Amino acid sequence: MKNKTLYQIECRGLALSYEGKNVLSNVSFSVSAGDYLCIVGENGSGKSTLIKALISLKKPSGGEILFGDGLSGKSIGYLPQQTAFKRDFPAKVREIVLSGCLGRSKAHLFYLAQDKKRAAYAMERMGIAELAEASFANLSGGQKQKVILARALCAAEKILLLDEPVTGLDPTSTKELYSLISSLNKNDGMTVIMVSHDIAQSLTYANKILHLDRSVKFFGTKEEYLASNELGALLGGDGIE
Amino acid sequence: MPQMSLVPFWEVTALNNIFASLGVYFSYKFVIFAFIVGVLVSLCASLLGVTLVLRRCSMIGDGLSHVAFGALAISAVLGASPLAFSLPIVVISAILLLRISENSKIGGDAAIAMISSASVAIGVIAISLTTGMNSDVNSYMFGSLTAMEESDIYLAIALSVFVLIFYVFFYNRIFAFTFDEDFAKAAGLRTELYKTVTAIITAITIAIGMRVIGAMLISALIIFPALGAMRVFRSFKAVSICAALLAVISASLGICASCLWALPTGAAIVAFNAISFLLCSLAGGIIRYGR
Amino acid sequence: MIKKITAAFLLLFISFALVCCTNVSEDENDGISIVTTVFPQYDFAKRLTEGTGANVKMLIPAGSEAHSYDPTPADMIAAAECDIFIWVGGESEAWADKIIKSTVKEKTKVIALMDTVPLLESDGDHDHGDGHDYDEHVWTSPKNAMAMVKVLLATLCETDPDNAEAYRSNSEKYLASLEVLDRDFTALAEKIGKRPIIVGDRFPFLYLASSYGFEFASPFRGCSAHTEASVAEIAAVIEIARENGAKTVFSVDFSNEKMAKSIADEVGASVSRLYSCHTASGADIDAGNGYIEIMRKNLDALMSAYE
Repeated sequence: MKNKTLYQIECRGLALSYEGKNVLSNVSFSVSAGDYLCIVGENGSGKSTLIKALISLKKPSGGEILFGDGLSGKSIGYLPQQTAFKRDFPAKVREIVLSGCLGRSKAHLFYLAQDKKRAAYAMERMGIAELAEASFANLSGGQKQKVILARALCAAEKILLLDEPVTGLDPTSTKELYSLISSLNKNDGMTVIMVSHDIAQSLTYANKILHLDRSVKFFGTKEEYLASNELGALLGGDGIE
Repeated sequence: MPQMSLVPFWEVTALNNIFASLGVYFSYKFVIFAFIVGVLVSLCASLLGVTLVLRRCSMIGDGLSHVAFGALAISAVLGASPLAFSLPIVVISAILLLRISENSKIGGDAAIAMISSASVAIGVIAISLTTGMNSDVNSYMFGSLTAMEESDIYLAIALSVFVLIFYVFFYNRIFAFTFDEDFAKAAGLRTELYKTVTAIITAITIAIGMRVIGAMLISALIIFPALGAMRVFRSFKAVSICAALLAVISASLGICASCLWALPTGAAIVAFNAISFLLCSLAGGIIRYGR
Repeated sequence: MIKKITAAFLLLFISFALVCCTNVSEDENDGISIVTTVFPQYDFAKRLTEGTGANVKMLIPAGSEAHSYDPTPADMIAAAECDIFIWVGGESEAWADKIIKSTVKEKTKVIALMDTVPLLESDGDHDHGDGHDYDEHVWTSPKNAMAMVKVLLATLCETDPDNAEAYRSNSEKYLASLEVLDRDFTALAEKIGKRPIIVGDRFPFLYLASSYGFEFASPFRGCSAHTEASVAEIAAVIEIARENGAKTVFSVDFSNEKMAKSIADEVGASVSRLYSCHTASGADIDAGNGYIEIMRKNLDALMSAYE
């Protein structure tokens, strides 16, 4: 068993600003191996900005992000918000999943055999192996997310960072995706950090919650969260999207 | 007026005559030069077009062609060598446009519109204050068959070699950052560098090709092949190859048509691009209907 | 807000006033004032009115493209104030036609160069309404130049009889020089014979060719700045150049010489320049070069090409 005090990611007093305005301040939390952390909060609470900082897309204006366990921002498997994809983009599923291996093959211009194997494994794990030659644009919403998740899996060393992975999906696909993610967490030992608007599901699968509203409103285990006031405030207001 | 020793227009339609006439035309150096540059520039523009169109950045081609026009106009006024003068200006504008469009205060489109129109205005003012709107200006706007010299050929070849190497060897990275810039950046790709390199190569392609094809028309070379290929094919690799082929074929046919039927060169090339796009749309529609 | 608007208006008003003021006419001279569109008649007018204090102004700036000009407000005012307005009279000077119809006063005499000599059709295949497409470069033949000078002389004497003596004596001198030029061109034509002169550019020399019997070959049919020569036309000229063993391909002033160079490359010839006299460069005007001097440059260029 991993030593629980060995953090994979630790944020200390993180501050992030956007165009000069402070979006997040004094954010401190930590993630250990095997955790399933859900980041919740209303729109504009800084969730996406935090995600961007974790994968080095944004420089903190204060505080620091520490990576332990030999990891770095680049070894996080990232699943961006759905709006980032072009719906008609001409690409085969295999091409997309393989692109997740980019971070590994830095020195190589072309993908190695091990990259291809990794991609094949990821597609199988997601149950989309038979879609490998299919065109991305022709897939359903749920299938597309599985492809993107497979890509994230390729890129991930030990951590998956998922930004609202089920937004816009139908209930069946949502369930499927959640159980896939949970399986990755429990069976493959992947650390999961997920931004979500879906409180109910978050509480089902997560073991830790980070509630943001421009700063940390709550960070701790799920049980502690259920007992706290913050959840009530979140549900009581019209925060559910 | 001189008697034409070549086959008159209305007899050219017989196939034998077409090949015979083309053979004669292509014995002239200026035709060969224009052909080589036209085809190579179309090739480069189409490959760049695939990534530009998919990243919704294709307007940069239009913007840069306007800047190139302004720069060429000023070079005509100063009596400077057109390419040597306009190339650095267009490259710098490309980088500038990129930086400005990333600043969210002014959107990318607005930035392009500002810089485009300002360049054309400056060019026109410079011209009208000195020599007036002459045939030089016309040939910059619409292209000219005799504009190429031997040095231009070498430049065009060097550019194409670079673009092909770039596209082939960095294909996976180009795909990744075209499909999802954020993800590519998170994976450690230097997306800024790739965007800058793409912009610079586009600028160079436009500066070189503008004198044959014309400022008004050259941005079409970036857009048509990519869009046509996307109507038919569904994988990035197939789209890239198809776009390149469409570009090269359209350019070749355009120049041949220009010779045979006295059509202006740039317009003929773009017309064939448009035709091939329509054919691809048709083909795509049929394929989809057949499914 | 009000302050800004006031400031803007003030600025506008001041600049407007300045523009108007700078155009207070230059008729400090006591002679007549003549306004011309392009160079040949400007030069003729200058020579004929030498010593009479006349004021001669050319509207198209030195070194400018003559075929597409947009008159400025200053031009309109100059035209309104003048005694004699001389334009070419063709379609490329539609702007001058507008000036004549709108600004020019009753008292002003208008001379159209194209009215002074017999016209040649420019052989183009575009019909303009009435089907006659006349070449406008009527001055390129010294014979025509002489006719124009005579018409100008008559108009000058009519407008300003006080200086008629001066005008007559100036014109006698000038016509004499033109006659020398005429003789030299006739001699040149004999020397060149039937050998075609290769012009790898737009072609303004129809009248010169016709007057002296020169054969020309050019990919263009006239001077329109807006048509491009087709590959077939360029190829045809190359063939003619080859057949006749041409050693020189000529370009015309104010072009970038690219087409002439392409043709010259193809046949192993060199490129030389001819001057249409339509406008003159600033350098030429400063050096006091006029129609005769520039035509002489052409003569010399042709002479050395056909040694």
